[in-house]
Amino acid sequence: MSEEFEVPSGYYYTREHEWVKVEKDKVRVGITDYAQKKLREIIFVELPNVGQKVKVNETLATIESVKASADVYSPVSGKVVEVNSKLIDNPELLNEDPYGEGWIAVLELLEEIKYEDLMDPDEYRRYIEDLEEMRVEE
Amino acid sequence: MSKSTPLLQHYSEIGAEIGEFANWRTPLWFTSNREEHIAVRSSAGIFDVTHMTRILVEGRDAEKLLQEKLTIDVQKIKSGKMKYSLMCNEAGGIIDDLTILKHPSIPERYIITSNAVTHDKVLRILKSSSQNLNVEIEDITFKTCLFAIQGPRSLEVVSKFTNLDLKNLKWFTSIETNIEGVETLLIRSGYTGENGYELLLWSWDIEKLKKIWNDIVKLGVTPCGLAARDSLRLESGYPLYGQDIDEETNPVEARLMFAVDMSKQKFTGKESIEKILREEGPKRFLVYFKCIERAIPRRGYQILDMNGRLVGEVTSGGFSFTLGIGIGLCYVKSDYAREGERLKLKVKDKEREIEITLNPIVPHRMKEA
Repeated sequence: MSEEFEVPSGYYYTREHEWVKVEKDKVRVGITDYAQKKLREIIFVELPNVGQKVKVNETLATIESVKASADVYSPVSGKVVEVNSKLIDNPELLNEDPYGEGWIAVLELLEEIKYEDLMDPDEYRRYIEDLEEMRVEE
Repeated sequence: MSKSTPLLQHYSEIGAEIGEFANWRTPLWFTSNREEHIAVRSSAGIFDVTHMTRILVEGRDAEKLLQEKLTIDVQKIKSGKMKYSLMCNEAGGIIDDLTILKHPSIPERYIITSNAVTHDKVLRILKSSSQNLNVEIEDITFKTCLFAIQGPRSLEVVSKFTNLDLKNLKWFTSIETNIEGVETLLIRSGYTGENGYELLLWSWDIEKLKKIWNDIVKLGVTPCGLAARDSLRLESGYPLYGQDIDEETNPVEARLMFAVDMSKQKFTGKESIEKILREEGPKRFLVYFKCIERAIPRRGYQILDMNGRLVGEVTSGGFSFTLGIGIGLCYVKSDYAREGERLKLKVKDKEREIEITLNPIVPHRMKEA
């Protein structure tokens, strides 16, 4: 049974299945549809504190699902200026609307975005197709 | 080669996620863990637990063999009754936890239902111990199926499949019936903490079994997978073999002495258990806990005392859909195995407060119907 994964345009993607949306001098971060489908039913999210500084690839948030615990790594170096506190009581937003209502945090950039480390939608779509093929071959 | 229940194809066709457990390909969930879990707590769910090992022990010396191998007093089991028992090694370590049923009408016939993961081991032990006895050991795992209907509505549902009056059927008691032409042992039993009935169906016929499964589902019973089975047993505090108990754990520390009859003359492991009780006393206990602070415990997480000293480890953990908090089973040093004891769970680099309890997180209701 093949699953469909949503990869909308207007976002950049990481190998760890986070998305980044550039909003002027800030970025919004969340997890991809692929990530939420793999994690399945998300039970809760541990969010960063507003004002907290994170370097690229450092843990930004932790997601707990019925299946596993997963760290969300920051795709940029920045300062957290906003968190999606709705996720505290409604973690299922991450499953229901990962690119919209399920966003995790907004960061103010402390360093330039390293675009060479991120994927555009076409690249990311190919990347998850490859991952799925490897999974089937296993 | 992985094994599978006759209805695996059917489950796959209706959209179940299939996974592997103890070498069996089995449904993990049909819709979602939460929906299935809540269905069992509030209404009724059906599980295909054919992966569990079923062994027929029959003959003049059946009782003698079981009396030697099992920790309970087999002599005391009345026809039709089932008991929970352990099988221990000489050191008192738990080889398996199982149920033993004395057939309602056929004398000298017992049916063991044990874990899938211990299938080969338990069969080997029973066979090798029966060499000089007049007893036949037959693996019926692959010629019978086991469906479990669980939840407050299970009596109403299962009653529709038999003319027998199930209202007076007591917990852990069985009766013979026939469903869709399939010889069936109907046992009031389960592993969810709710009232429930298990159908031991003497068939491997896909069409007949599918009809039975679908007829039950049509009554509004939710098909449930292994994920819900695990989250339900966790709330009910039932240990899972291979995870919470194994040959390195004994019935005293696992708090399973209710399944050990020390007044019995002898059984494998009795001397070691006596020694643990008499001399050493257990160094640790298997207890339950709930998270006071938000956290989801996972197997292997450390338990610390309030001063940060290591005092235990999580063996099973997860989310309680009933209470909306993280819960688990853990071994802690004996001094900390007290009702209401506050300890800490180490979650990666953070510590989260937990409370120990000696009682199931969600109280059992199987005798309420």
